[in-house]
Formats: sequence, structure tokens, C-alpha cells
Amino acid sequence: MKLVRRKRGVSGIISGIFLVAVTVMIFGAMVSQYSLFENYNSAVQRAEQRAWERYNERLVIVGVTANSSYLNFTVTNCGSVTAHIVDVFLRFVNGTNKLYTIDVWIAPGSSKQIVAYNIRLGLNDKYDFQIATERGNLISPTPVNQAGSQYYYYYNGGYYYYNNPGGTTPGGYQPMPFIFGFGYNDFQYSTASASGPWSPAWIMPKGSRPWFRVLLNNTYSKDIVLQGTHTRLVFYQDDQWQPRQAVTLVNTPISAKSGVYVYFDRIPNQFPNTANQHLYAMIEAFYYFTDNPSQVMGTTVTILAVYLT
Amino acid sequence: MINRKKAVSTVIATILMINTAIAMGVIYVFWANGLLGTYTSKALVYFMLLEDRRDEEITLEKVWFESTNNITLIVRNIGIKDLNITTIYVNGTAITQYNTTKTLPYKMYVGQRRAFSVTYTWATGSIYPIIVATSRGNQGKGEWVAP
Repeated sequence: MKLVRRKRGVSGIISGIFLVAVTVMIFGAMVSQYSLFENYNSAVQRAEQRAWERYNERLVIVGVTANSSYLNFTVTNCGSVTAHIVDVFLRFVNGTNKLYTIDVWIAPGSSKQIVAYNIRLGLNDKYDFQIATERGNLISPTPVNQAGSQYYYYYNGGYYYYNNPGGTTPGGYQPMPFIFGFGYNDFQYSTASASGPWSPAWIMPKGSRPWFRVLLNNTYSKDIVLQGTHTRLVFYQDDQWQPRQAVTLVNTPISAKSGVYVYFDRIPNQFPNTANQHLYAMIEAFYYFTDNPSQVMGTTVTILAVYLT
Repeated sequence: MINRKKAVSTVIATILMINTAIAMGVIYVFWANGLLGTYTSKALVYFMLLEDRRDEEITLEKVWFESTNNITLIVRNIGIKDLNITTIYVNGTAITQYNTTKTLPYKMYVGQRRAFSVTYTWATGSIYPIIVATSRGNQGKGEWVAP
């Protein structure tokens, strides 16, 4: 009887040991697995962090001083991470490409003028360039005011300008000189006559059939003419897309770097006789440069919002 | 005789049973341990490969179409692990030779930038998809229009 009891006692201990061993093994495997997952998750987080930083790195080349024998430009960091500029790619008109190394750090929100003394430019060199950051982003200079199918900076010992060999095109490089300032009096109406008196048109009387004028600025360096008849101020009611158009009756010249009121005729049908009716307004502008009247170009200028009282 | 058939004593029988149980248990523990060990080591390798792949990042910064049969690619390692560039694909054609005489793979260290000049006949105005592939299966790629 004692032996029988002892037999049960021993096998209980042994099976207990085995049970513990198996449990430890399974637990160990689970811990190992958890650790692997954890490490992998860390790698994923690191990759996502790098991607986030890369997407939030935003540099703008705000100015290029080309009357310098060295590459000379100013960069603003508009992003939320510190940027490290490491490469400069130069491309010359003659097709030569060059790659230079620089080492410039720019904190978020700050600007820095970079004079790359290792990038020497020859007299009459025509070039464009891009900079690359350590995170792999590539930034080009922002064209200001002028555009063309291709442009270059031009070092001629004192001045720089854009070379515009291809002329203007109907595509993305079409000059777009107009700016609407969104000032209180920049968009006006008159219910009395085509010559006023004028009131701000952001809120207008219901059921009216007014005349309009809009202050447009020509930021381009050339004089332009807005075409009469085709240039229109178009109103869309927010619950229907049948527009009301007010047209300009005469050509309106706008000198370079200046702004004028563009006058529009009365709309053909009166506004709805409903208060709180909302309208969207957009200017369809057709224009040409005075030095090339045969090339008429079209653009929309802005979208305004109006409601009736 | 009948009595002798029953002669294996209770003590012996107990010892035999305990020994058998211990032997089977040991075998089971070793077998299970080996099984789990194999599984965990394979999982370890699998996850290490995944991790390495995630830590590796490459970008094709710039492409220069130079003479009519030559393209230069500027590649940068922007990850946190060294990488091996194994193949460059231009418009689907695998290229393993660069800078005239050198042959891929090329090891790039973290943060390193390198120019690879490859022989490929291009035509003005055509679009060329270009891929730089690493040994871990990552790619730096883009499409460029030949000037």
C-alpha cells in the first residue's frame, strides 16, 4: 500500500515537472514572439517617422541672386522639421550637368542666404538648379512673375533675368498676371447706373439687376488688355448651375504692375427675389499683351461669395 | 507457474513504469523544445528580414540624360541601414553594369550619395520609368522625360 501511494506521489511530481517545463517552453516562445513583433513594430514606426519627416520637410527657394560669381540663393524652411541641404544640381543651357555637395542646416520657420563658394559661375553662364536634402527631397527655385516653357538664371556680371526661349504656351506655363485683392471695396455693385454710386457687392439686394466693377491687379511686367464682351463676371446660384453673366462692354487696358476697376454690364436677368440666397461669382478673363495682340489667352481669376438680402 | 507469471513484483513494475514515464517525458520535452526552437528561430529570421527591409530606404534623386546612349542616376541611401544595389531597370531593361566597367551589386552606406552612369539609348521626348532595386527588395523609382 505504501508503494502504491509512493508511486502516485512520484509520478505526480514528475508530471508536474514536465507540465512546468512545457509551460515554460510555451511561455518562452510567446515572449520571444512578442519581442519579435515589438521589434518589427519599432521598425515600422521608424519608417513611418522618416516618411512623416520627409513629407513635412518643405523648403522654398525664395530668391536667387544671379549677379554673383557664386551660386547665391535664399531658402526658407516652411516645414515643421529642420532641413539639411546636402546637394546642389546645376544644369546649364548647353546641356552640362553638375553636382555639388553643400552642408547647410535650416531650422523650421527660418530663412538662410546661401552663398555656395564651391559653386563658381562663369560670365554669361545660363543655368538652372535644384537642391536636395538629406531626407531625399528635391527643391527647385520658385519662378516669380515671369514664366516660360523653360527658364534659366543668367550671370552676366551685374544682372539676372529669366531667359524665355520658348514663348508662352496654353499649358502650365501660361503667364497669369491677375490678382484679386479681396478688399472690401474691390468688388462693387450699383443698382442706379453703370457709373455708380458703388457699394461693396459681398452682400446685395434680392431681386436686383445691378452693374458691377472689380478691381484687378496686373502683376506682370507688361501691359495687358482685357477683352470686352468675352470677359465676364459669372454668378452661380448655389442650388442650380444656370449662371447669370455680366459682361464687360469695352476692352480694358491694365498697365504693368498696376490695378484698375474692370466694369461689367448689368446681368441679363435679375437676381432671385429670395433673401439669404447664396451665389458664387467667378471672373472669366480673356486678355492679351499689348506687344502681341494676336495671342489671346483666357483664365479664371477668382471665386467670390455673395449673398442676397 | 501461475504464481511465477505474476512474479514481477509491484516494486519492479513501479520502477519500470516510472522509468518509462520519465523517458517518454524527456523525449517529449526535447521534441517540443526542438519544434518550438525551430519555429522561433525561423520567426526570428523572418522578422529580422522584415525589420531590415523597413529600415532600408533609397531614393532616386535625379536623372540626367546625357549623351544619346548614356543616363546618369543620382541615388541616395536615406534609410538607417546600409544597402546593396543589385539592379537598375531603365524602361524595363535590367542593367547591372555602371560607370563603363563596374558591375553591380554596389554597397551604399547610410547617407551616402552615388552617381551611376549607365549605358542606354534614349530618345528625346520619350518617358522612361527607372527603378533602382536593392537586395532586400526595396526600390527607388520614378519616371523621367528625356530632354
